[in-house]
Amino acid sequence: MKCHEAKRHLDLFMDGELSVPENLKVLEHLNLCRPCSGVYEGEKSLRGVLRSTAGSDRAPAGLADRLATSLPKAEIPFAPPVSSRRRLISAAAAAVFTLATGTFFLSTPAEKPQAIAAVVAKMHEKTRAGFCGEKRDDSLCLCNGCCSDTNSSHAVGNFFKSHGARQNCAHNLQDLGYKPIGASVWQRRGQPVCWTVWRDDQGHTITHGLVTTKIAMEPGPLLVCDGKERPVEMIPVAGTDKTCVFVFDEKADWARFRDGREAK
Amino acid sequence: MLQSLTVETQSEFSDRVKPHLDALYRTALRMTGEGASAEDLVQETFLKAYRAYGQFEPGSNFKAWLFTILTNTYINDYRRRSRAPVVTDFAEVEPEGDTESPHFSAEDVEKLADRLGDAAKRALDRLPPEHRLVFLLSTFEDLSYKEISAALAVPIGTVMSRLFRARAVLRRDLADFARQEGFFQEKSES
Repeated sequence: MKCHEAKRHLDLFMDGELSVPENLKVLEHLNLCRPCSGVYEGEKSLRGVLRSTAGSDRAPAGLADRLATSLPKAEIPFAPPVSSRRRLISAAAAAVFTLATGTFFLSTPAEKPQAIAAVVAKMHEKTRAGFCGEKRDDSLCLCNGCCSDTNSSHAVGNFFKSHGARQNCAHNLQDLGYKPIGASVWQRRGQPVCWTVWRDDQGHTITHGLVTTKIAMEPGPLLVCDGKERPVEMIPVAGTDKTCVFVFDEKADWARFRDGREAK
Repeated sequence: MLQSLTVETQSEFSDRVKPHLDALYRTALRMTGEGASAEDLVQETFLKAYRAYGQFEPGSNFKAWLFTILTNTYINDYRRRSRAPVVTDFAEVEPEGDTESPHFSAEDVEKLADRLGDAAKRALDRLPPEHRLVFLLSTFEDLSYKEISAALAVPIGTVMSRLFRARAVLRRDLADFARQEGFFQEKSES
């Protein structure tokens, strides 16, 4: 390599943009040629000086905190708590409770876990039946491209927002072999609540949503609704009064979910 | 598909951005020309990144992704109302012909460093914004040509020509400064 070539390649060399053989050639030349290595050293220190004089401003103190608090509270996407105790309940009791109380729990401020589980399970029955190919105002179909707006990852967020609901759970069930098939907004105690529905190849469904009540539940399998056994998992969202709720078709699905989460 | 639902918590997002905050801010500062606008630009970038976090591809360069959002925000929203110094006409800064821009020796640079003060910032501010941006992203923030090309949605060749022009103009500017300060001896090009 000649001097003029080495100089021509110098910027690319210093930017780390040369191919390996070209890089070697420049290196070799710089090792052998004093004037060129002088140019290189000068250029290197010039970059250093420019960096320290014009490229070393720091963000003002407190900017990080200001940014963190500027995030819209209403749009908090909830992530799973790192380690959560499984909180499953037996809802043989729930069914009884539901019968006894009717819709009482929908209007009472202090919700019992069992009551929520029962409501959730009912929603599950409703949602697992629906979506594919079905256009409803309160739901967004995501499967088989049967809705035109499903290609955008914003579709779900926009859908929730358009129904006045801004909070949703952030659990991704794709790792467990489920695909999102739909989203739905339910009115609950006058408040819109977001739910998403996921399904695997065998048609097993998980209904997944967020409940605004801190629920303490006993661990254990859950049996609910319409004479079918539906395990429910409730994961409190750390530091909030929210709880993520999952309803599964079968115990095996719940076990798969639990194992998948533990593997993480 | 449900990526918008699967973003991590706010605090996780904030923690991830935090190490890049100085870089975002100083780039915003050099592009907008003053602190308050720079802060606004960073904040807007931060919020946009948060909303789009679900679309960030894991495994790709998070810093480059943030800068893509910053540069787009800057170009769309700030470029026109920027209070930065008036843009130098492009023809004015174009290096004539194939004349090589002067190179400094390491000793020259050492002397330069002592007296430079704000002259480097002023030299940068005189570059056309498109050139300045590429220079900042490459030389200060270590983004690759490819990443810059993606961030600005221009071909790599354009990135390179802007970058080399920016550097040539800066070298000449600084050489002028050094000459005025009376210590830079122009070498006869070999």
